[in-house]
Amino acid sequence: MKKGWKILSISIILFIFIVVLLIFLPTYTDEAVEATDLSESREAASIHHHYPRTVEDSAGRNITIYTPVKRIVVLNTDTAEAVRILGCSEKIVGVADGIITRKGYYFPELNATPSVGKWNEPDIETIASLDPDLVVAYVRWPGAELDLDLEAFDVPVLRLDFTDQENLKEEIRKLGYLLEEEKRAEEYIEWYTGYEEAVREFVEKEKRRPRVFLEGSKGVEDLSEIGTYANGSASDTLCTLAGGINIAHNLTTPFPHVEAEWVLDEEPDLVIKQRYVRWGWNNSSKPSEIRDEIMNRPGWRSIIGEENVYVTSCETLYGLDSIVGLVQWTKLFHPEFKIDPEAVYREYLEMQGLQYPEGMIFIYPEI
Amino acid sequence: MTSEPSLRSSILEEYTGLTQRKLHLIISLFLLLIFLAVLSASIGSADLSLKDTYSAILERFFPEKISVDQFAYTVIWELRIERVIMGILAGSGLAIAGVVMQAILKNPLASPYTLGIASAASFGASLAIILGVGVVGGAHIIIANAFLFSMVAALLIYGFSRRRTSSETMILAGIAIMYLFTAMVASLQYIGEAEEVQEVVYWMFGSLSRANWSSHFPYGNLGIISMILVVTIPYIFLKSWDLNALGTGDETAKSLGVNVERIRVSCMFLAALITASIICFTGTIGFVGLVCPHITRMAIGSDHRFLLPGSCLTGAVLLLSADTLARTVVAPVILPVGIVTSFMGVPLFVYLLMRERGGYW
Repeated sequence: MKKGWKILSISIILFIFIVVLLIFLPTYTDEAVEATDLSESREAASIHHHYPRTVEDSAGRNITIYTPVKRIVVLNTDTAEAVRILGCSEKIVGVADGIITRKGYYFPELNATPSVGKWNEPDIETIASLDPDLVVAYVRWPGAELDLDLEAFDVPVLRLDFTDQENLKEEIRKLGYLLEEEKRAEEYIEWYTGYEEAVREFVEKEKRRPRVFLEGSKGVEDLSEIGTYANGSASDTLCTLAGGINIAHNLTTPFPHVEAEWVLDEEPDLVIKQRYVRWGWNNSSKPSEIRDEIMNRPGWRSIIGEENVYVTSCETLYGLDSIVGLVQWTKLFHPEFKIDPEAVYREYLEMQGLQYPEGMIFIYPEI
Repeated sequence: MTSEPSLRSSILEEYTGLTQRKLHLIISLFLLLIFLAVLSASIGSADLSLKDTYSAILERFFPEKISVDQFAYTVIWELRIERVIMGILAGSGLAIAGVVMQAILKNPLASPYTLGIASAASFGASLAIILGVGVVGGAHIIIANAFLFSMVAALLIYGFSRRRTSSETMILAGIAIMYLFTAMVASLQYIGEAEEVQEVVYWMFGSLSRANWSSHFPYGNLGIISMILVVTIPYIFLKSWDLNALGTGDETAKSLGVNVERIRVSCMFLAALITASIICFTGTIGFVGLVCPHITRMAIGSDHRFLLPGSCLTGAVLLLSADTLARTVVAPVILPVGIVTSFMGVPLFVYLLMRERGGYW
C-alpha cells in the first residue's frame, strides 16, 4: 500500500511539474520570431510609399500599418458597412457569422466570405488562417484577449465603433487613411455633414419642440415595464438633435423601464415605437398591428391620438446611416422640414452600390 | 471456521486489491488526460497536419533539431496549448475545491456555486462590464473585480467558519449569499444596455479563451493559477487523512487528534482562493466543482487520499474534453464551455446516480 501511495504522490507531483515546466519554459523562439517579423515589416515599409501609417483608434491605442492593407477581417456589421463605404469590400476575407446569417440581405457581396465565428468571441485560429493584414472590431467586444492572441501572428486589431454620432466621422477618416481611401472617406464625411448642418440650422430657427416618448424594441404587452431611452443613449441624442424633447431624458440610466401610467401622466405629443426587424416591413400590416396594440393599452387613446403614434425600424437610427434617422425624425417632429428621408437613404445606399428596396416601409404611418 | 491470521491475511489482500484498483483508475485517468491533451492540441480550425502539430510541439523543446512552419508553431503554442493548460488547471482546481468544500461541510451540495462564490464573482464582473466600476482600471477591471468579490464571499464564509457554525448553517449562509449576489447581478442587468447584458451573460457561461502566459512575472493568468495550485494542492493532499477523519464526525475526528476548527478554516479558505483565482479568468464554470467530486467518489470511494487526485484528474478530463468539443463541433463558432460541460457531464452523472441509487455518499 505504501508503495502505491508513493507512486501516486510522485505521479501527481510530476504532473504539476510538467504543467509548470510548460508554462515557465523560456520563450526565446518567440522573441526571435518577433524580431524577424519586425525587421521584415520595417523593410517592407521602406519599399511602400507613405508607410508606416499610424492612427489612434477609439480604444486610445496607436495602431501602425507597415504595408498596404489587402486583407481585412471585420467582426461586426458597422465595420463591414464602413469598409464598403470606402469601396474596399473586396478586401474583406473574413466576417463574423452574424454578418452573413442575420444581415445577408444587406451584405450580399459577403455571403460567400468565410465566417470567423461570433462577433464577441471569434475563432482566432480561423482569423489567423486567413492571414489578414488588419482586423476591425468594436472597442469593447471581443475582449482584450483578441489583441493578445493576434499579436502572436503580427495581426493588428483596429477598434472602432461607428455607433456614436460624434465620433463616427473621425472613425471613418482614420479607417480611410489606413485603407488609402482618404478621398472616399472625405466624400462620405462631406455628405453626412451637409445633412447634419441642414438639420442643425433648421432646428435652431424652429422654436417648437414636441415632447416625445421613445419606446424600446421589445413587446408592447407588459405595461409595468416599458423600455425607453434616456440621457446617454443614441436615441436620446438623435431626438435632441432632431429638435424634440425626450420625456425620459432625465431618468437615471440610459435604458430605463417605466410604467405606462408615467407615460400617460407626461402627456407626450408623439410616441415613437422602435422595432428591430429585417431591414424594414414589406407591407403595413405588422407595423399597423403594433400601433393598434399600443393604442389598445388602457387609457392611451384618451391621452395620445392615434395619428401621433409611429412605429419605426431601427435600421437607420444607429451607425453610419443614422443621418437618415436624423432627417426622418426632424421631418417627423417638424413636417415643414423640406428634406425627404427616403431621398437621403437612396443616396446612402447608392454610395455603397446597393439598390433602394422599393416599397419597403421604414416608418409607419408614412411621413 | 477461519483462523485469525488467515482472516487478517484475506482482509489485507482484499484491501490491497481495492487500493490497487483505485490506483489503476487514477493512472488510467492520468493517461486519458495526456491523450486528451495531445488530441486537443491536434484539432482546431486551422488546417494543420498531424506532422506539423507534433513538430510544433517538439520544436519548443528541441529548437535546434526540429523546425516547423511559424504559423503552425504560433497556433499550437499561442492558442491551443494555452487553452489545453487552462482546461487542465481550471478543471483540476475547481474539482479539488468542490471535494474540499463537500468534505468540510459534509454536504453533497457544497460547491463554489452553492456557497455564493461564483455569484459574487459574477457580480464583480457585471459591475465592471455595465457600470465600469472597479478596483483597478484598464483591461484587468473585470478580472480584478471578479477576484475581489469572490474573496469577499469567501471571507464571509471564512467568518462563519471561525464562529464554529454548523455545516448546515454555513450551507444556508452560502445560499443566502448566492441569492444576494444573484439579485445584485439582476439589478445591474436591468439597467444595462443590451450588448452589456449579453457580455455579462457570456462571461457567466465561462470560457477558456482568456488563457494566456507571458515570459515575465506573474507569467500571465496561467502562471498565476499554477502558482496558486502549486502552493495549495500539496497542502490539501497532505490533509487528506484529516478530511477522511472529518467525514466520521467532528467528535470522532477530534478524538483522532484532528484540529477540526483549524482544518475547516484553512481548507475552506484555500478552496475559496483556488476557485476565485480560476473563475476570475474563466468566468463561472459551475458544474465541475459540484459534480466531478461525486463522479469520482462513485468510482473510487470516499477515501480522500484517492478522491482528491482522482477528482483533480476527472475535472481536468471533463473540462478539457468539453472545451475541445466546444471549439470544434460547430467551428469556427465557439460554444460556451460551461454549457458543453453540463451537456456532457449531466447524462453521465445521472446515469451514475441511478446506478448507485444514491448510496455512495
